[in-house]
Amino acid sequence: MGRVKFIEIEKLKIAYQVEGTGTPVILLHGWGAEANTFSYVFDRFSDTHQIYALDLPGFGLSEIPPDAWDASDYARIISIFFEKLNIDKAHLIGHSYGGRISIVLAAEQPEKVDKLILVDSAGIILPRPMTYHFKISLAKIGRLIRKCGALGKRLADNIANRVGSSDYKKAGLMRATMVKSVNQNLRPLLPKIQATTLLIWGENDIDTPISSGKIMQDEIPNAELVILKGAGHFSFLDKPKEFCQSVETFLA
Amino acid sequence: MNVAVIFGGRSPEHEVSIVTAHQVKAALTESHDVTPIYITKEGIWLTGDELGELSTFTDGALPSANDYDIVTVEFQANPRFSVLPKRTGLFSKKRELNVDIVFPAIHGVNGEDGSLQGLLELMDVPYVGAGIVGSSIGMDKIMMKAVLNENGLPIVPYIPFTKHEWNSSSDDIVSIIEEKTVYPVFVKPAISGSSIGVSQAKNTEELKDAIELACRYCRRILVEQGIENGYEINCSVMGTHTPIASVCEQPITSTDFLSFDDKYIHQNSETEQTSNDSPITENTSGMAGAQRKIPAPIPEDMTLHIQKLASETFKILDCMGIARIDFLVSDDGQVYVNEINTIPGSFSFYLWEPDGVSFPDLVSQLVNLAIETNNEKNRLIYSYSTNLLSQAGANLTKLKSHSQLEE
Repeated sequence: MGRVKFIEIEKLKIAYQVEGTGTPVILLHGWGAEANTFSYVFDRFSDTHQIYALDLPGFGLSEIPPDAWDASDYARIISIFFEKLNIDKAHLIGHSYGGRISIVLAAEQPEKVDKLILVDSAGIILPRPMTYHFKISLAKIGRLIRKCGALGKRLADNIANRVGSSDYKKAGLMRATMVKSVNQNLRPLLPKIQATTLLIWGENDIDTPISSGKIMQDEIPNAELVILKGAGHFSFLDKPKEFCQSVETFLA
Repeated sequence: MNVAVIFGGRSPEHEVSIVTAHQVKAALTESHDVTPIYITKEGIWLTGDELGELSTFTDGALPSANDYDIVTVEFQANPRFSVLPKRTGLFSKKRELNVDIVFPAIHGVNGEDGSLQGLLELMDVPYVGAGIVGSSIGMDKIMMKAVLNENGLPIVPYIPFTKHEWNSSSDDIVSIIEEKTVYPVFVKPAISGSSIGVSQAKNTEELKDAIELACRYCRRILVEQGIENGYEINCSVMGTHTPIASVCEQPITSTDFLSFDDKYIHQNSETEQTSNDSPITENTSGMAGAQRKIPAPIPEDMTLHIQKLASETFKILDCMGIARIDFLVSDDGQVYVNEINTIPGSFSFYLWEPDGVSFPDLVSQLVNLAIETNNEKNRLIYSYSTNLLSQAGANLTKLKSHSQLEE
């Protein structure tokens, strides 16, 4: 990947890397990740495109948002990023949470998005499985017993460790942003997406299951779904060559 | 003797520390009982026999708090380490962890910077390596340069400033840098290890990005004059009051300067001369696996000069046990002290082997030095009988009566 550069948007220093010339491609990473997770994809496309990878605010080398954000706030930042770097229109590749941001941007500012690639994207709230409701009840019990002295706190910590998702546990200062974001249902935006869209999903993705991809395929006007066999939620890391091949064909 | 090797830690050099610690453990096992204490990236202290096996770390995810006994520190009548069994039932019992000496094998912040040393001082446990002052000054590049400069040791020109100053007056700072140095310059966080957050800048635009990058890692930054066509020479120093210096090495760099990858990731395969016959390096050679020339191909008088500067630096910074001092040499032969590592990767054993000191000998020597240092410390006087408090009491009474008079 390239040298790390910084740009200031809404008083936040945002780190990004850029290489190559040609049609701009912007890589948007997922929750808890950073630009460098895309290093294989970045290097592969820097020969043929002007490729950008940024650390979203709150991740990697970029500063943390001042309050709880959702995908629309992130989309606003990306839109300003376009303007500041004189990018009129770009292909977007968004993974997981980066997919959420891409959906908002593609639906609300279609003039900025050339082609859209959503990779194991988040954004759709699926029906909750029974285990979810069980965990929520446990978490509520945990909150009650936390108030019962030191022993209660110890038991509650134990429960929190068992029922909280690993992203939630690690979120720290970004926890409020995470809670706000996961409750944002982007399904109503799907029909508004005008860009030709490629959906790439890992066959074994359990974080954002294929059923999400199928809903997106049905509801985004011009979308095609590619499933990578044997890959999980980080399908572009599990099957990097197959991933890049699909992207290359789609962008050609 | 029970030696606790503490490693891992909340530092970007976590993985490197795991390699160093396992090298130390392997070298110590013959002569000592070794207890591994692994600090997770979240800062939880764990122990267990499996943590002494490198395979525990290389096969899949790093060990987590759920699978191992937790180590705690207790300050009761005698400060000590205790172990909480991993099955934390309501009736689980703590047990004492018998530690005679600690061997810190943590690189970087929260381990090499004096913080761990401070804890061990409070516990009065002997430990290997530099004390609080040596560790913290050695870790802080701005403090280190100020101290070396004050003592007449050669350093390259540098400009220190804070992140806060950068955010409020970046243009002024750029002007000062451009006035006092010429490109290329190096931008470094004051505190960081393994070149993380360090970058070279060849013009104003690169300088600004490099400073922003360094600001992500530390709130204090320094910009150093780069030495064009220069090269790096490292030398290790061991001892206490009359330290001795090792052979010099020249690291072979693949980029403009020694980055994190060069320091720790490259394997033995391309090493020109290193300790391939060492029983414990294998594939995870850590710092010992970086590419280097030993001895460095420099004239003998320069070697002697560097060894002298290394010993002086070691003493001035109040180091103990072992350290590796890194030098920069310009193409006209000027030598500058660049950095010191008070817990060097792989404890620089590859610099002592040419002098016939094996790694097991080296670590045993370090354990002995630690005990010697602790004994010396305990012979110092820490209490002094004084009637200060009774005097203060009398003065207070006087003051009170004085103020009553005034009323």
